[in-house]
Amino acid sequence: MDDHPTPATDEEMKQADHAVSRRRLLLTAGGGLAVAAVGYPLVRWLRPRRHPVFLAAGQKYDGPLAQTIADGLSAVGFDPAGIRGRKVLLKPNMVEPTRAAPHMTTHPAVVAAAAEVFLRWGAEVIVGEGPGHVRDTEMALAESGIADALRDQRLRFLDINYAEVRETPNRGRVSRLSSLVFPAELLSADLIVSMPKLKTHHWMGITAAMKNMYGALPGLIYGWPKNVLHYAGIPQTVIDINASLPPTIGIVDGIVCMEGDGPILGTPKPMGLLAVGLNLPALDATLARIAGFEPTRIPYLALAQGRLGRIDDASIIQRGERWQSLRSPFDSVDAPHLNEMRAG
Amino acid sequence: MNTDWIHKAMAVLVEAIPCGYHRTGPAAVEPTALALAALCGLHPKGAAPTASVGPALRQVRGNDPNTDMKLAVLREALGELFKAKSRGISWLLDQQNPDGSWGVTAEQRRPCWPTGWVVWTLWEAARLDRMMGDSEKPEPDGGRGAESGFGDQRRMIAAAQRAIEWLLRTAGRPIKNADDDGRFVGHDTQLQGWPWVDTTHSWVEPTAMALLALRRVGRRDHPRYDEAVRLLLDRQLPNGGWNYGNTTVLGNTLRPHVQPTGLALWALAGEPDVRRRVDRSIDYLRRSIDERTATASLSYAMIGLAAFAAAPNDADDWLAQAAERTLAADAPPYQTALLLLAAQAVEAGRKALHEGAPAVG
Repeated sequence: MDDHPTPATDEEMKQADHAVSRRRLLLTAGGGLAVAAVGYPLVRWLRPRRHPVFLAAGQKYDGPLAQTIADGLSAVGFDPAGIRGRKVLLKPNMVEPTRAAPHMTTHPAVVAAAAEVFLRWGAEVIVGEGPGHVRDTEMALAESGIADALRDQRLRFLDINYAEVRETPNRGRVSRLSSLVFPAELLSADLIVSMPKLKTHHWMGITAAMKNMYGALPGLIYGWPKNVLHYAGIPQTVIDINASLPPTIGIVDGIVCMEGDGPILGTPKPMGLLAVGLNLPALDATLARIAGFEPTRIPYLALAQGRLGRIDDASIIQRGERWQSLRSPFDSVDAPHLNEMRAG
Repeated sequence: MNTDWIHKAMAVLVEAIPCGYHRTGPAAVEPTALALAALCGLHPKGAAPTASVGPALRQVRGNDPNTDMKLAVLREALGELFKAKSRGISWLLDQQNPDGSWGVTAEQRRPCWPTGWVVWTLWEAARLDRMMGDSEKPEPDGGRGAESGFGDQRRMIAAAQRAIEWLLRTAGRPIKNADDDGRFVGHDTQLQGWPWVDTTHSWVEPTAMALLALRRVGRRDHPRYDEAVRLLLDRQLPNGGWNYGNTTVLGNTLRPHVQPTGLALWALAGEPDVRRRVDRSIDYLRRSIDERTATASLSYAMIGLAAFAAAPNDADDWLAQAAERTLAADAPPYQTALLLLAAQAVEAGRKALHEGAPAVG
């Protein structure tokens, strides 16, 4: 397969150029991209060889999370000036929320903290999610606690499962899907922030910033669950979705994670961790290492290598804590396909 | 019974039809079908075709000196109601795909999982049109439009029949249960049922929607009907509830959810020999809902419970509280329609209990 898929049509070129111009606004040279007026293929060629990932330990949900997030974004080279007046969509994970298992979904305090940071930097902030297993979005917002964050911060919510949609070419082209359907408003965002909960996943080993973007697709089109994507291949469609989105960065809730039979039935794994990265494969690879998995054996990360970023340790610049000092292998279901993904 | 909200909810739908999931945004097939069903005064039993407007009519009968004025106001309201129904049905009929199915919106002609809802609504609207007495029809100048009743009955029936043929040609895709020791998924993966999206696996909610449509048009004798009942029972969780449609994955039992449980109960109501199987489902739902339950989940729970004449005593109050929240927000038509359907179902269930008859035939 092509390591560096290039846009083929005029429309794709236009979209890609638009994406690049928006990316340029958001990233400083320190973050990796320092490009002039160049086209998309050249930008991909110039993609930085190393991606910074920020890790903060000792975090608590009632702690100064906004400060940690702001520090983390600065540490990975995010330029606050570039986001002023721009639309930022925060995408938490609310796959199947229940108050009985708060460790399944992104904690509202992390969402609120991220919103505070981007609002302070002058961005328009909305929160959007398309819960994968439940049709009742109001229920999902209430059970996850995200409704409280929305109310407290007066944030608007994009109900991705039922929003007006727009079809867009599949720029990843790893699965057989020729196009993808997203909410039109999501596609118009200047920046998407994937805000997952770090969890084990009983098919993919782990789920973090990249797999979280399954929730960017509407259930109205893809179903509950989004079975179309399963048939097209989970790792393949994770790549395709991430390749087709507007610029996306990650802020990961790893304060109380999920281990065991994730992403739904696992048990709490307190880690006190908050992770920030501009490149999602590098971010997820770092988190996989912390959780005791070998990134090259995680199917979607193996596919992401060279396509959407780099996952080898040498290509990741560590900011804040080093992952080696935070490593605490997560329990996972005893199944051959999962055991093969374990490190060591 | 607090019914003030019912008139407000009806007004929301009358204005919005054809409507989307939210107050803004494009019209969509599912909320429009459910809103029409609600305005027709439908409920799972399919009885009391004017249940929504009947109480209003009764309120202005008698010796009230203002009766004439009130009747004039009511006549105008009924005119608006009929216009909205006619508008909604015309819109739905225009959206039917050449193969008989309905997509999710006018622009998105695939997937076609809302088809069952439209069949259910059109069939009942046509039946209601036939049944409705002249006394409850507005005057010719009351705004019913040029069509007879809610629209062309024959066109509605024909459209529903074509949709049923499409439904019977459509099936969930069986999958291999890969793990020989049964640890992959716990359900019978060979039962067809109905999928959300063509060529994918069957799930609880689209199967329940199709089952309700088949029952509404009298196709219980079809083998796919029996198989769908078996599928729903097969996907039931040990505690009686349902979720989207997985029972166990890799040997672990998944959690139930209120909304699919309510819908599955509704779809199974009236089937012989299911009562014993659903007692736990009823218990689960009754334990899981209260006045704070989200609107759609609460509504489906009430419809499912009422179908077994098991709605809680607080049903009216809880629905009224949910309606207060919903109507005070942006009054999304989808949730508003579900609330109305739930209120009608609760009333029908109560009546059935009083009369000793099954709530759903």
